[in-house]
Amino acid sequence: MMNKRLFLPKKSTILPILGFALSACTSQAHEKEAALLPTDSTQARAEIIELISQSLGGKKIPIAADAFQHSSRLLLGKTAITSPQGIKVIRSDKEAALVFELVKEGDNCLLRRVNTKQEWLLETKRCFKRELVK
Amino acid sequence: MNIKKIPSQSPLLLTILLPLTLLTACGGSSSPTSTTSVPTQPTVSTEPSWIKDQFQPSANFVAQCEDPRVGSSPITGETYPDKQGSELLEKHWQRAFTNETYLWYKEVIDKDPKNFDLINYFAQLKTFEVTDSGKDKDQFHWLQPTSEVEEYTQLGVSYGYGISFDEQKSTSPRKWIVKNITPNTQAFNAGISRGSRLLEIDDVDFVNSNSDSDIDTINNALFSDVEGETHTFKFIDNEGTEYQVELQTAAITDVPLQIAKTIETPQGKTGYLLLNSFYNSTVEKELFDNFTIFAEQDVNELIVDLRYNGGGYLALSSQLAYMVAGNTATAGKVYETTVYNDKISNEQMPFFTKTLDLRRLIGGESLIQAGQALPSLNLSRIYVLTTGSSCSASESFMNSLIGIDIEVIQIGETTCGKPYGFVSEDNCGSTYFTVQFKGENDAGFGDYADGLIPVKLPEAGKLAQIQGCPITEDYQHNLGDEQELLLASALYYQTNNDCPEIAQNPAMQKKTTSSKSILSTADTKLKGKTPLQNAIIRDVYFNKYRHIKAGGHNDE
Repeated sequence: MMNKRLFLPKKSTILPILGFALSACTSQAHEKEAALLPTDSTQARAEIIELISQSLGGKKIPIAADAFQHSSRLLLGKTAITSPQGIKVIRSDKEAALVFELVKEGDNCLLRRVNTKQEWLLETKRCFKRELVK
Repeated sequence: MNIKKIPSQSPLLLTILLPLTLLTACGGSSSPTSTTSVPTQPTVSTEPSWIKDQFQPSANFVAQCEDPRVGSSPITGETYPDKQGSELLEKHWQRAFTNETYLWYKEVIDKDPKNFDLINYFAQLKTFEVTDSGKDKDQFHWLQPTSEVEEYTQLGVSYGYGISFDEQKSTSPRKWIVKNITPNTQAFNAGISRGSRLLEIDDVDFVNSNSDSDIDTINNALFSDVEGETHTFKFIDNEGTEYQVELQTAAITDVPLQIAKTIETPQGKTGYLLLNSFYNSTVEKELFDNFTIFAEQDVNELIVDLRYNGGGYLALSSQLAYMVAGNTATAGKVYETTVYNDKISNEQMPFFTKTLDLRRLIGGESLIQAGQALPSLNLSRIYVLTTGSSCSASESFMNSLIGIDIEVIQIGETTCGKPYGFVSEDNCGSTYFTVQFKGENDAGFGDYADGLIPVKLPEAGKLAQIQGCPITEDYQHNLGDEQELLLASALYYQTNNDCPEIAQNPAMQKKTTSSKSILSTADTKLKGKTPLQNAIIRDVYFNKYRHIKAGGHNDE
């Protein structure tokens, strides 16, 4: 189960949490920084897709092949719905996008859901700090 | 892809079920004293009574549910507010909510909720007036399970192959024509050509097959959400050559600004934009960059191709309108007034004159520095290419320019007709959609429920008729090709101030009637997606933009 790395204490999380706690202890000096993935990140993307799906009640979420490769933030919005008359309704409801962020903390890559502050430790270590471009 | 499997409790299903449930209601529980309407819950003493045309606030009934949800939303993580109530209380909430927010609440006949079930009561909480063409004035009124509504996607991303079809006929013999291919997809790289007709999927005859297994094969391929799953598609192109491609299901990223280029004409340089969406916030920077180039190149005419643009953020369409018309034409003018019912104050959206960095505003990283002056072409005339898929913010763009006396020449087909908007509202596990406002231009016009209609000679007083050329698009040439029918017609009009005479090939001409959901018995599993129109629930995102200093004249 992918939720084994969910930082919040849920079922099946004891060992990973201990692992993370150790990791956190050894990396207290590290700040969390916005990060990106390299172009060949198929495995990391698959892991991220599953974590995001799990975070949203198991719903399947289309995520682009280049997710987190150009931006450290992934914006989710509600899908279009169709009115009974068959008109596809694109929605831009008043709530802001649902945002997931990729952050680097020491050698670790973390996926963070911004609105709930949930974080998951990713298996990949290949993320890199996003350089600010002015 | 343009056919979608219908979920178990889809709006379409509700539409089918409505007459059945209505019959049941009429036959079985028409009496308010019927035992079926007498609540068995201990809450009976608190159940409200109905007094015609007397309304309590919706807050008095909110979240008092027949079947209250427990726990929290798996999506938002928020605890459900539901508490034990009854279906009658839910219907009283519908009634009060309608009375408070529905745009045409005065046209709703107040009826006793006890005489209806939940779905049918809401179904009649609307106007039943019709437009000039006989169409229902309100076509945007329904409820849906909230769990269905809470589907998410990465913005601008969906599963598929990157092929948009014109679904001319979804019953056998089926006729689907490729109308657009998303750049940078397998379909694009495989050379699938516009105008190609779909013949086979995974060796199944797409045109004629009717067996359950064949239909399953077709649906499984068209609606696959399994990345990397391979399917074969056989087409016949405009020249009559058959070809087959293998495509893998993928997460396809939309390309909202598909083409931006300059065309040399006898009148000078004409800009051309194929803009497929106002929904993707990344388009703000692309439009900024391209209008900067257009301005540097002294572009003096502009063709905006909105034929497949179903709408999106009004703020982006406002920026586009400003970049077309410029400061002088828009100063002191309103892009669009949001007109609510008489219980809610109207709101005005300005022509935004500066960058907003919309991406950052909705939670993403900054894409463009906010507060920069937008480039503008200061044009007094613009050409807009349209079809029935041109909807909502696309229509607002046209209507707003007309409202400040910019000459809009409309080439193509009548637009979808959605000057309305709403903010969906949840109660007790159902999400309610009801029209709450309409958009009007600076001249006060916004009644185009029948669409914006291109005509050679608009009739006096018919403000939804727009000067231009009524032409049904064909698929003989690629989009952006100067020989492509709608673009060529705009270029012709530009030179001749008149519409071209067109002898369209009937075999290639797009049908003007949609196959909608008319399916033969054997086709019941092939879910024909109905009109390829993209509407937008225009929203209150823009409330916050209204106060942004980088915004329009109204903020200066």
